Amino acid sequence: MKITTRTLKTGQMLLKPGTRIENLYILQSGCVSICLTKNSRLIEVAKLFSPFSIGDEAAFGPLSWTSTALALRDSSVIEIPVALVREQLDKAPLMHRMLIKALSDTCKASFAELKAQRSNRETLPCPPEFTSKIFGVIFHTARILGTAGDRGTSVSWEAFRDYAHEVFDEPLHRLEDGIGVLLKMGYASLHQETLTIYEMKQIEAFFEYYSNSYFRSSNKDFLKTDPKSTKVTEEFIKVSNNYPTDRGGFAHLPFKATMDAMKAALGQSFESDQLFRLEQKGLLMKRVANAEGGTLSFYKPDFEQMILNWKVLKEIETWNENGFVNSEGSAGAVTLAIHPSAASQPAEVDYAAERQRFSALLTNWKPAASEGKVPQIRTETRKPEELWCPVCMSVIQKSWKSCEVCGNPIA
Amino acid sequence: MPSSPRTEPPPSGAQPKSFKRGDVIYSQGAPATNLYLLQSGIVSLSMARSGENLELMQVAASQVFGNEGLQGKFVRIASAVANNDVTLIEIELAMAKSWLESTPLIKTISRSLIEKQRGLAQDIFGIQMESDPTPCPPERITKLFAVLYHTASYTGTKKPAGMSVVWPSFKKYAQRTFLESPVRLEQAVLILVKLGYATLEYIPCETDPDAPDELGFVHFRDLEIIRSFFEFFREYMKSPGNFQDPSKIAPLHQSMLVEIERWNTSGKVA
Repeated sequence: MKITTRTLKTGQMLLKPGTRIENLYILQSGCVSICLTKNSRLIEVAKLFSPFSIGDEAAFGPLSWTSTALALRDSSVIEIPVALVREQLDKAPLMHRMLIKALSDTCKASFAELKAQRSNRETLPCPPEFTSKIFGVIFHTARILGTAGDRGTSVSWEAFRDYAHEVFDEPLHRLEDGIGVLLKMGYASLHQETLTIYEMKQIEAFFEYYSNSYFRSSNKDFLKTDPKSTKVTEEFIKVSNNYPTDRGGFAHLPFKATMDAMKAALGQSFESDQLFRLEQKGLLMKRVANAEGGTLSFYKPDFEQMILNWKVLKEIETWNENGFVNSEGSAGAVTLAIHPSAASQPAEVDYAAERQRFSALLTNWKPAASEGKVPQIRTETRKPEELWCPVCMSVIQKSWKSCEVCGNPIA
Repeated sequence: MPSSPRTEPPPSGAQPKSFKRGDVIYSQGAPATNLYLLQSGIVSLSMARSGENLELMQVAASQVFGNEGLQGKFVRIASAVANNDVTLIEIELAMAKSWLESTPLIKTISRSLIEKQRGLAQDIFGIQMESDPTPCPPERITKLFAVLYHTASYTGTKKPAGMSVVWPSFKKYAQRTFLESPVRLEQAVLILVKLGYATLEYIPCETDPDAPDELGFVHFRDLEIIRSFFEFFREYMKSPGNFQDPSKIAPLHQSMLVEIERWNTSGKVA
């Protein structure tokens, strides 16, 4: 019987319901979520951080494990065989054993109380009512504490985290995941404990858009992403690039030529209604009739900003579905390392280039078959525990509903 | 077979005790010198809030409570009251620490259990605090005044006499960006007005000329006063022991605290 160390990747399950507990686990680093399953969804009961224990009740009697323990970050745990713990406790005086058992029983009772409270509320990692606050706090904390430079606004990660938590009352795990979304999108980087935010204006534009939409609109679908609307908007902006904008930022497009270009890009089934339906998503345009078939006018910066807003929303939707922010498998993404170890930290990383590559990849990616090309087949061997997307062969997680690279729905 | 603690005399440093229903085992703010192993009965842990007691959790037999000392705290964060007839073992803090550190493995497991209990209790307390009716509880003060300060400095207009904000848009920004209660914001502004750090400007109602004037602008005399207060309170919440001596609290901050206490007691700023 010996004590061992084990590492967990983000999203990896440590324990599932029905597991026979043979080890007691003590978290050394990272974060593990204890969830219960309700209506096929995982509902978080508690987040555990270092040096919390899991499975300690097994040291005092048989334990029927009914929850799911899921790593929300790259984590490391110490595994201590339950038999070893029992052996040590049996040698200890009675009062010592009673006190340790009482501590374990108190934890068990507290967990049961939390389970009762939380199973009645369906809590998302990034609930809609808190989304604008998370990014508002990130923006303002960086603005208050950071130093603006050519590459972005830089701030000590520790000072940033403490200020956002102690002053603006933002929970640390949600703050870290919010930063994780920005890291994944290339809007921020974390290097040697310095957080640099590149797109402060973008973050401000996003949380202002979200808060105005959330508090004003009664339509719940207004803030949900829709791949069709995103595609139509992207193509519409591309078509508009062929025409100049006026001094006010407004583009004026000939209606007929625009519809022809949209059909060429999206297929003959494209109808002008799909364009006007963008109004339901807050994108307004005006059609003016004239002898040439009419003109479409719209404020181009609004449309471009909306594409970026939807990309952030999509990441938040993925975060809520998975329960965590996972930058693994996202090509070109900066590795999420909120608490990087010395060993994992690269010597020199050009984060600006990484961000640009990632942004370009997301913006420009198309299936090879849609461009008449032959798909590039991966040649390396798939690892036993890996799952690959059937379309783009990126690494996917079992819990995903769609591939994060190509958007293909996963059955 | 191990003997029952009831038949075996407890070691020195551990005292069996009994309490009747309603007896106070310890009070909030008292020194945390012992912890308690409950053998029978139920104990209620509650926190005083503006003259009322907010129950945080109940402790049942075979559980431990009053272990603030093991978590590094020096005073009780809540009061413990017997809900019914209670028997327990009172254990001196130093004795408990020596038991829980008797071997490296037991020390590691004990530390992880103590920290896990602290984390879970904080989560439970957080849920209970949501139903706290206190207008401005201590854990909300730093954020309230920080939001006031940062929203005013970001959205306000600098004037010779200080910083001015358009009240409706100021309130909207603070609510939508920081989820700060507009009612609490208004009361906090009234405290500043009462102490002479801000003035209000009312304007006629745009939609109904016969309606009473509405609050249009708030003129802050010196925003740095608000900043110094929330930064003081942030430090106070982290280390209340550093401010036991009232002379360590600036008069300006003391007067703000007095007004907040009056607000919590009466329900509004007079």
